[in-house]
Amino acid sequence: MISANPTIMVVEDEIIIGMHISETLTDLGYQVTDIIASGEEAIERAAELKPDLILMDIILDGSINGTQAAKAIRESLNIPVVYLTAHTDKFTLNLAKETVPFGYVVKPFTERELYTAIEMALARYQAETEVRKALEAEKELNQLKSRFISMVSHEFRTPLFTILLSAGLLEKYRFQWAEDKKLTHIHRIQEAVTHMTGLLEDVLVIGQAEAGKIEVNPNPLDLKHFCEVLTEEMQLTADNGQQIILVCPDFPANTLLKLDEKILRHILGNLLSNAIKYSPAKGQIWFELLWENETVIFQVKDEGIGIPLEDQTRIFEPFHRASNVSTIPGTGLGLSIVKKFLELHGGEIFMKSELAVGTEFTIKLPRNQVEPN
Amino acid sequence: MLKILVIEDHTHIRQILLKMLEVENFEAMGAENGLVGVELARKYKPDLIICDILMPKLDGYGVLAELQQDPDTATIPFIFLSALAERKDFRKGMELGADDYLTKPCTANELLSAIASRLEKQAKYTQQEQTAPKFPPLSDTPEA
Repeated sequence: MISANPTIMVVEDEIIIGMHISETLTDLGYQVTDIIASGEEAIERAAELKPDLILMDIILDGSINGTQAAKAIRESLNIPVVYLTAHTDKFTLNLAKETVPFGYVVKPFTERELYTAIEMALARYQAETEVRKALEAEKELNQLKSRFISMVSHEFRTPLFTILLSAGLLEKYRFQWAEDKKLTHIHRIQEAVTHMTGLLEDVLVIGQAEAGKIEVNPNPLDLKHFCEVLTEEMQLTADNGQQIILVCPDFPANTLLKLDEKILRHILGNLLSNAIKYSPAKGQIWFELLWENETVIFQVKDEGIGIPLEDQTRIFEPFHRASNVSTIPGTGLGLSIVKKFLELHGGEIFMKSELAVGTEFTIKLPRNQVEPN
Repeated sequence: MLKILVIEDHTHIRQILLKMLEVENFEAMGAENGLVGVELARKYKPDLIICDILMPKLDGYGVLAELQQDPDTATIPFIFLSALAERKDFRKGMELGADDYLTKPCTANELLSAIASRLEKQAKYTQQEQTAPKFPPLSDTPEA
């Protein structure tokens, strides 16, 4: 951020001394932006030129002194100031101290003294800037977290309301309602609890991922076999006759790749269960495994309800569910977890979807994660 | 039979609410988003509206603002039923002209009493309008 030739503004009311300082600075390899005689002008010019550092005399022309000018510059522009003055009395020193300067050089100075003072000031300023940036990033993260918490609590209120309402109705009408009606409400309560459990689990996974508590343990994995087993497992969860078709034409059998099985299972399992969930009865789901130069590609394609265009950009955001999901259960967290896990694994995800036609997710894992054995 | 419109995008909750209102002898109708809600409110002029806030297409605040513009729908008792439980959300709803604001989860009884008290008050307004004496004709007005 500070260039190889830092820019310095000199504030000095005695023109000869000012020129001498300027020459010294130029010899030392700095660029002098300006020599200014008054505090007011210094404040103005500093805002225009934004130098990397200001060398400030304390006694100046005009109605304000160097410490007042330094204070104003520090507050509004955050440019480091080094005092360069003949005064070493207690009063002046106290005035200077209050402005928390980056250095204090006493006239007459040697070239070396000036050089070291400027270098130290620039280094300290740089260090402080980094700390400030880290603090800002931390603040932003905290804001994101509190927003997430408010979203989570909001998401819990809806199933809780279902439970409270159904239980309330059962209590109120238990003597007049037929058994089947009571059962409907009992099932609604059970569904809401299942939904909340899913929500809780997903929130925990996201929390762990955010806290960096999910370790990636790549181990040799027979990818083709892994996909076959996963397909069989997921097929068992398809209640409405949806069919998963595994396609891996060119994929070499018995090839071991270094991948984290648990994370991969979570990612692909999530995409496949979405494909099943949003497919019509007896719909077909293609699960394709491809090998392309330096990348392993997984593709999950369904003939389901599709994702409306206006939801496509937001589909990976936590709790964002497409507007056409109707009563199909879901937490709205699955895809944001998939995305997070892929980041851990250095992978990418792409989506193509058309309303009422189907959706296709493509995952790419880079070669540095994949070492043929 | 009094008509109640339920504007709520969560299908399960909408269904439970409609069922409950039916059992309580109301004529209940549901809308799955704000736009449909406004349309049904204009068409059927229900006696009371229960409305969620976070909904696709048009949110609950938008629904209330729309209904307030039209004198025919502006006076229909309007109850927000929302998962937004912060003070600022509540205040926004009330300032837009809601008659009540319940936060999810609430009990069936809480909701039913809120409906009952709104309807009771509305009935009193209507009665007052009908029984209040009319001003005498202009010609008989005493000179100031």
